[in-house]
Amino acid sequence: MPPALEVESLNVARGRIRVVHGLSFSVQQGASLALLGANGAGKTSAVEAIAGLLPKASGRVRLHDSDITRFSASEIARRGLSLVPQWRDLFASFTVEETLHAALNAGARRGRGAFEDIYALFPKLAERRAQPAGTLSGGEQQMLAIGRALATEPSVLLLDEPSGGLAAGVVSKLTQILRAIRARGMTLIVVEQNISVAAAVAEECIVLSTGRAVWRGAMAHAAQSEEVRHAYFDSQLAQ
Amino acid sequence: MSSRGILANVVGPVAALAIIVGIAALLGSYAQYVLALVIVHCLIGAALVMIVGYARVIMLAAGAMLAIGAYGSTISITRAGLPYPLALACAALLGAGAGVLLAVPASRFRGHHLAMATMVFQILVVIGIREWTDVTGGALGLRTPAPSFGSLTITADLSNLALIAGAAVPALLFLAVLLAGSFGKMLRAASASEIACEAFGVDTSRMRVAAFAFSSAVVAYAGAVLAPRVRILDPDSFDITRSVIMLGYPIVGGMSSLWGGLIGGALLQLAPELLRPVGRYQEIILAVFVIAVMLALPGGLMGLVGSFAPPPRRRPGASDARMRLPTSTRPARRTAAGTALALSEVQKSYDAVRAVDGVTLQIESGVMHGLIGPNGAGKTTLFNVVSGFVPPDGGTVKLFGKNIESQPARTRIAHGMTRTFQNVAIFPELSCVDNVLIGLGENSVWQTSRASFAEIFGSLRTRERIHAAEAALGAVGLDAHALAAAGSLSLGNQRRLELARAIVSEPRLILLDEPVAGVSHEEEKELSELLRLLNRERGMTMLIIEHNIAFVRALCDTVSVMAAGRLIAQGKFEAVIGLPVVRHHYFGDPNAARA
Amino acid sequence: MRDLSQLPLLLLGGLRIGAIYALSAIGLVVIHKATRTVNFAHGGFIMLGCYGAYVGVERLHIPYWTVYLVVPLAVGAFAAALEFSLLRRLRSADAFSSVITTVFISILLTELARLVFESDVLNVPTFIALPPILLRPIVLTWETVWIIVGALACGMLGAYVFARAGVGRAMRAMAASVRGAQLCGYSVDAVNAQAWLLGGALAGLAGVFVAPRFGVSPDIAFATIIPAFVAAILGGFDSLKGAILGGLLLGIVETLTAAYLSGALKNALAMLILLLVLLFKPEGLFPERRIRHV
Repeated sequence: MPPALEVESLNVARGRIRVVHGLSFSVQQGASLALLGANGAGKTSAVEAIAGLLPKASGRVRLHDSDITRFSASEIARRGLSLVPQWRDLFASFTVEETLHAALNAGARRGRGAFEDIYALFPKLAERRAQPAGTLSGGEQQMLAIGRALATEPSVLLLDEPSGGLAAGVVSKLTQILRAIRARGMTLIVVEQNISVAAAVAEECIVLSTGRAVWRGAMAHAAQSEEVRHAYFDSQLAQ
Repeated sequence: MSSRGILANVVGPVAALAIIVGIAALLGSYAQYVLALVIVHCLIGAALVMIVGYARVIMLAAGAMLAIGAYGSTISITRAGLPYPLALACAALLGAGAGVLLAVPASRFRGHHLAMATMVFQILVVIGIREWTDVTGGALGLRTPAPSFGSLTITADLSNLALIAGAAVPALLFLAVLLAGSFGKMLRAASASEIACEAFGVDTSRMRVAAFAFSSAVVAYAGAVLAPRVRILDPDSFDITRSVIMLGYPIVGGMSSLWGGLIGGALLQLAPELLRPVGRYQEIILAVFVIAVMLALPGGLMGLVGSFAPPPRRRPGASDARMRLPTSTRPARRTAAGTALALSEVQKSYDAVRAVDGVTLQIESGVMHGLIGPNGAGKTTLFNVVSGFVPPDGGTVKLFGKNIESQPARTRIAHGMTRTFQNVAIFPELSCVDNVLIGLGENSVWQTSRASFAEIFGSLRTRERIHAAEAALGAVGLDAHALAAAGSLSLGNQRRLELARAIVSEPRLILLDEPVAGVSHEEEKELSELLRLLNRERGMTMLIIEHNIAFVRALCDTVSVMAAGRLIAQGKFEAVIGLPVVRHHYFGDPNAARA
Repeated sequence: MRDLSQLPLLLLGGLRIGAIYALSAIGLVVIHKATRTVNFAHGGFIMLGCYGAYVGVERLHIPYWTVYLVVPLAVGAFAAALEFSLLRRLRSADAFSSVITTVFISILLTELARLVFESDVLNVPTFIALPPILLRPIVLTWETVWIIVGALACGMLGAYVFARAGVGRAMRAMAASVRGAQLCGYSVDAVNAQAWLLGGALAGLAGVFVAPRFGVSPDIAFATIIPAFVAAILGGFDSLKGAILGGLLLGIVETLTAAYLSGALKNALAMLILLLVLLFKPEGLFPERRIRHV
């Protein structure tokens, strides 16, 4: 069976700055991958390019064996690859319910059932159905952002630093939810600076440093490895 | 200004005027009449290049300014008995005043709000003229007297043409000098990056007001020059449709130079004559032309010409990549003892988010200090507070002992502080030298206007400034690119250019925001060496935000680590990086992995 | 100085013209809310609606009801086509380019109309040709009723579509966060085209309403854009309800000023209101409740 997502020699530039150099990886259906690295390493640029929000300088991206390299972000979302962006990009004045509606209407598949599934995962959101997104707490906004991505009924879910700016208690709740999503068979790619959050959710990981993949392997090894810690602090390893 | 520049921008237009008069002398009186109008509209086009092209303002009030000059001069002649030359001066003054009146409230607007404000002004002025019938004759019109000098009255078409050309010359020279000199460059820089300009002492609002004043003065002057030729002034001929058509002059001709305005004005004024056979289609052709230019030819007709022009000469000899530090032209500044920067309990919140939460930090003179931390930690906000772009909610910022937290960004350079930006904020259309010259500060409206005139005569001060700019370019290894447009440089070179701009004023403290993001390893090493050299030999204190930890470790004496708006650690690099709290923020709690 | 007995009649007149201003402003605000551009060609679209009414009713003798349906759709389609073919390229450019281009598109439309129809003011019959209602002391024409009720209803329908329908939700999502909307699967091109379709259709509809009262001429383009701007600004350019209220307010204030103060002041009034609001309350007199962006 073809991999759920396959990335080949991805190069990304922000303006004139090259931020991702020749990144390649593939993820099987139902598996989970973490992209680790210090900030500025190029993780966000990589996933945003994969999701179509950033133009790709070169390289290829395949989703379930169809080439989505040239597709627009909205087309990619409709095809079943959803990104929960780092800064969430929510609609401030939309209520929780309306946000899910919006995602649902735009998605390729429609269905009332999806709402209940999502509210089951995020009971806090169910309580706050009619509240505008801008008035939710940071943790609730993160839940809503994930819920919105799930509402488009993706087969591959990308999350960019989901634990960013959240308190420790909320982070552990979050990792439980991500585990539950994984248990449903979702293919998950998580970008994280925080190794322990990634370790709770992913099996494999790739460490990026100044735009290049410098280490690959099982998540369990990464959590203990001094080499990985060096990769965070020493870009000489990139050579 | 180079002699080539003077020839092209100052002597050229005047010569063109002389040629027009010369040709017209051989043609009939109708041609002389038409060409007189063409000259006036060339002048209007040139004036509009300043406000529309350089300052990027959608100016819909040109018709009103033209009316103010035409009516103003006519009334001053017929009612106050002013002689013709004084009436022209009076018109220019009225125009300048109107420009300021429009600009002061309008300059806080941008984009379409600004366009609407000028539209309001335009319509109100025309209504005012129409209603003030005692003075202006209202809709019935106002007769304009023929220009007279004592007992001599000018009535013949050729003499009128010569008079108009002669009157246009001083206005054209005024515009040419300002546009090609420091003032014009400052306007273009402010349109390219307002923030970078403010960081180097430019009051961009005042610049815009000055641009309004200067161009409105010339448009009003043009109205006064035009008035005798049209015989009867009527308010409808200065309405918004006329304003919109005049807006087309710089757009069609090219917004980057005086010539663009001249060509646009000439073309669009001659068009009705040339298009007489297709008279009914004139406005349609004009509108289609402008739309096509906006979509396909952003530089206008002059842009087409420019693409055939030869590239600027490169300086021979200097190597491209090698950086070195030349001896300073000024006496070396001794490293001042004491604290360069002292932050005390600085707070900044955006709604519920505490971007900067009680940061206290001291940086001694002569130190290279790094600021690191995860995304969203508040480093950029802190920089913006220190450099004056964001006022803090609480706390104080002392720069070499002076409290500066409530002062705007443009005052920093006078205190000896400059900065670079995360997204390279150079001025792409200006040459590298011009980019660095702005870094010298002393960029008020008065200073840049005066400098524009001084540059024509090659004053000592101008030469000194250029020399300093070239030295700074040499220090960063860009002397070969001195005359190249900054936008054509690679990213690495653009970062060097920003650095040259930041060091040329010999500041005591430089803030560097991700100075090596995206550059190659070799460039990273060279920039690192250059910064170290500047620090050791010139005593420049530096505060550096960077994600590239190796760079920070190699270069910085001490670092601060920020997370969630707070300083969580400070000290020498090796000591800080091993701290559990720092590891926690980068890696998370290792115990959580097993949860 | 007129006496106050005229007041009810004047208020009615003010409401009538205000309803048209409200309808004109809605289309402008829809496009701005969805795409963040100010469409200076809006007056041109209204003019197209007027000429559409003239051609439909007087030349082609199509039933008036049909004209009310077909002309707005045609103008909307034209606006969407314009966006897709030309303005899309200017989307990423600054406001400068899009404002100038739409200004000159307005001139182009005006001159094309002048070319085809000359500058004469053409007549279009009123929609409802029944005898007026007599309600002491005022005489109420059916046309007045139609314009007030009809234009207001259409305006509110437009606002409703924007607030509730899927299409409107797409536009509001795009306005709130372009990236967020894309990640939900909304195509930027499609949503922008829809916004221009809706905005253009509302302008065309305003034109059909306006045609019998103003007469149809190329000058309509310019004459209607100023009140549309003022009404839109009174709503802060972001609130549809604000634009409707702003239009009504402007209509009433203008009519009262013309009657009790002076006709010339009436012309200047819209400008003065615009100026004062821009200077002192740029968020408008009837702004929408603002929620901080997340």
